[in-house]
Amino acid sequence: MEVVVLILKIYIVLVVLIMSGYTLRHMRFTLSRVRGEQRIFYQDILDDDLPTLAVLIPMHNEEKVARHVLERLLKVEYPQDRLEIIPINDHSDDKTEEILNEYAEKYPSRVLPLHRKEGKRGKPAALNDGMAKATGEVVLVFDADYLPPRGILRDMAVSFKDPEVGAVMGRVVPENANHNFLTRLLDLERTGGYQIDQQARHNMKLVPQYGGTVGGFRRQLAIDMGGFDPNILTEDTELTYKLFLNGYKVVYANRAECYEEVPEEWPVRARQVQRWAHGHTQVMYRYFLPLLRSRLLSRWEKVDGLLLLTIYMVPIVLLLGILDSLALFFLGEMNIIDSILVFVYVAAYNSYGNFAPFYQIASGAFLDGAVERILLVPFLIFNFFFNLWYVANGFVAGTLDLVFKRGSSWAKTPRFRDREASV
Amino acid sequence: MLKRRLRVCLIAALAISLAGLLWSVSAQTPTPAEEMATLETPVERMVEGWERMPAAIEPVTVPETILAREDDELMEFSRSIVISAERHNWLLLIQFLAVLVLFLPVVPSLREIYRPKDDKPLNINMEYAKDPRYFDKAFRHMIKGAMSNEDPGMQMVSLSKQDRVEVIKSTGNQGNGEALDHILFVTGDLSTEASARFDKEIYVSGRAQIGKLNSLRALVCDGDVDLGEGTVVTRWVGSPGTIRVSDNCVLGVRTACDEDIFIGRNTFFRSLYGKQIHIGEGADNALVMNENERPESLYQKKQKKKRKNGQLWMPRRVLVPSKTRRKKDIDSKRDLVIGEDSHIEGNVRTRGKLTLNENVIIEGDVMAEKDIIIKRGCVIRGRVLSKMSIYVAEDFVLGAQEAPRSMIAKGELEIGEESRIYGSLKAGTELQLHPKILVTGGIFSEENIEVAYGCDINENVFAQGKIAFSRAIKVGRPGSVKSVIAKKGINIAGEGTFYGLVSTDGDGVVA
Repeated sequence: MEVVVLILKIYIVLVVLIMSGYTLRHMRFTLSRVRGEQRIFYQDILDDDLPTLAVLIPMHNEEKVARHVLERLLKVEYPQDRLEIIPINDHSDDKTEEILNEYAEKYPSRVLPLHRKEGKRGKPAALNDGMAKATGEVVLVFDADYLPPRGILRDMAVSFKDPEVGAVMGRVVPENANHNFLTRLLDLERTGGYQIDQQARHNMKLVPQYGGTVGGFRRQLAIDMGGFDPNILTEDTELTYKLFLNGYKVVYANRAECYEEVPEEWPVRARQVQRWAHGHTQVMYRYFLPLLRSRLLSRWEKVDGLLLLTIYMVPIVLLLGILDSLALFFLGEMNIIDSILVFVYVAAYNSYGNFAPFYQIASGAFLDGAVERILLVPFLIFNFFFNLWYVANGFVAGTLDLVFKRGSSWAKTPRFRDREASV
Repeated sequence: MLKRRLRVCLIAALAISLAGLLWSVSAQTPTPAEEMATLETPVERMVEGWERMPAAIEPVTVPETILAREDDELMEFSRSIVISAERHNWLLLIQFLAVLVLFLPVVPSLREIYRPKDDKPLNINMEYAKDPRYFDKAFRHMIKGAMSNEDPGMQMVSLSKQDRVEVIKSTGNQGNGEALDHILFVTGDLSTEASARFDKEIYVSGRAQIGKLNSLRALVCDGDVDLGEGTVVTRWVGSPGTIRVSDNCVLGVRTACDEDIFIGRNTFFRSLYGKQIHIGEGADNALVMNENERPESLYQKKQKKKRKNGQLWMPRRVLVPSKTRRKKDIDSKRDLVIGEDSHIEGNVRTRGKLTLNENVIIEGDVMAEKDIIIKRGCVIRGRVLSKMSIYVAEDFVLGAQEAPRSMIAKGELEIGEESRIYGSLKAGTELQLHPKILVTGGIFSEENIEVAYGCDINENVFAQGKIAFSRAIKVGRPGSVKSVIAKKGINIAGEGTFYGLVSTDGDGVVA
């Protein structure tokens, strides 16, 4: 029994240390973004010789949104002889194919659809086929619900002039933020995630994450690194780590902003979060040790890379920590350290740890000049518990994949845009 | 649906808090002290007080000696118990108030949900596209759209606010030393006297000839522009023609045109944009290099520092003999030295430091986890990457014209004199180019860049720190736009030619 109690106590201390690590990380990011020196991005570079681009848009049953993204891409400012738009119809059984063919007929030299009717369905497999068809030096990826502004391709493509840049990530902004309570909360989450978190990592030369949409990478490099694994549900996270392990960087372009549609229903959001956690967990198991062993990353890149890699493990660590503390309480063994220290820690954690992401979100909204929506921050506690559960589910699924060596299937996020694109 | 549930939850929570509050308040009427005052004896009072004492309070054993007495001491004891009970009620009150306070942050949140003030998507300018002449084009468009006519005289025009605009048809001199505090709209050419001061924008449909020591806020001109010596511009100058800037001028945040810009000596700037930017007489007309224009080598500086700290030592190393011919990769876990005149047809990787002696040729990629030292006359056809610094001596060749490659150092990067880099360079800290180097790609640094005499860089130069150019520098190629961008400042020591944009958030200085 004593051994069990000892293990439970050690685990509690471990949880405290892990949470403290994340607390400090969030605080440091916020300070870097709000008070620190900002690294300039490449978008101010004017260059006539931009790289040739292939814009890939994976689509599975996207009849509601397909026209919007294609219309926007046909209006972008980029040399037409250096741009190919490749919408990938991935096993759609709605009118997506029809719509793509219509655009291909109308713009034969610009829209080059790829119809996938065989092989594994899912974004990684679709991107592999898209890369094989493309000829551009750089691939930019947009999900079908995105609405790219006129100057975004140039702003992102120019970053590849730097030979060290392997991938670029732009900023995602929800266009249906005002639809309901959920979309308003997701809008806040995005603000914290991009305006603060990604920009801070870019400032501090850490590990900004390639997010799989509103972003791009060097096509040949991705092919040389083996393309995308169709069994990994977060091919974007995998690419991020592959690039860093091969001596390349991911950079973040805060000004390359693009509208997206966020889920408008809680069950859809649950599936999305669960898929992210599932895929991220798969990547974690695959890249944890290579990242630790790599000699191409700096010490701080490794620390940030590991914290990012294990971030979807935190909810389950926390859940187990809560159960552990209950067990210790009923065993009368909570006297781990001096009670005042525990009190101080809990108070500090609740002020700056648990709510540090919220602090980050509020700071992001402030920088965006969207001050009134900061008032919604207390409601993010709903999201916290909601995510806690579904992320834990995703983590378990990813772990089971590893244990039973099973494959995983892609779950598409449904679209809600029955209306015309509002922006 | 969700809003309704939320409303029900919050009303329920508030109702519970309120009920708790009312209960704790009602628990005081009558107060325990008042109730106890109705009891007859101190012992009765003590027993009553004892019963009222909540379980959470530490039980007290009443001493036998006290139970036996009915005096003042007993009275005091029973009073203390009554006070404990009262305090307990206050604690309850505080607890319920605390619960109530927990809901306070939610009150403004509810307001934002039910009466949203800020629920629109963040604004993205969907039509935004980069235009280096944005300022002058926007002003031209705005003022021409706002003017009712172009007849000479004063008009009130609505721009960002109501502004006075004076329209003149003039080829004569303007300005008499006094400040002009309204916008000037010139239908024709403009020339100004010395020391004229214009506190508002000027639009000129012809040419603009600005006299010596003028002070301008902003100038947009449809023809060519000449800025006289010592002119100070606080915002911008824009023209579709040519801009000539005399010596000792201070340019504002942007000076942009579609033709060439000529910049005199001792000029300060933030951003210059033109088809071709000539500094002084231009790079082709620079005088020959002086010996003192060779920068102090980064490698030498590092060696000096090491010597001073007593850190020079010879590590264990693998030596590839001179004149080796090898058609395989080399992979070493220690420091590696490749002897002179060797030819390796494969990749070279080492976990230590890599030294290439004179005239080594490597037909593959090179990667080292420590410094890479490349001596005179070496050729590398592949990509070069070091987790630390790279120091390259003279006459080095990277890549080939038809197969450009890049060289990336996480630390310092130094390229020796008269090297040819077919590709791009990137340094994690300082980047130094010695004289007369050709770089067909761009150069990038996370800190500062130093470019010595006569370097020719075909693409962009980008630094998170400062850039220092010596004389006879060329950046870009005729007929294409390239950029020089430094966050913290750009210093141009003398003649140079730049194609496109030269821009900094810090101070730009032409010496």
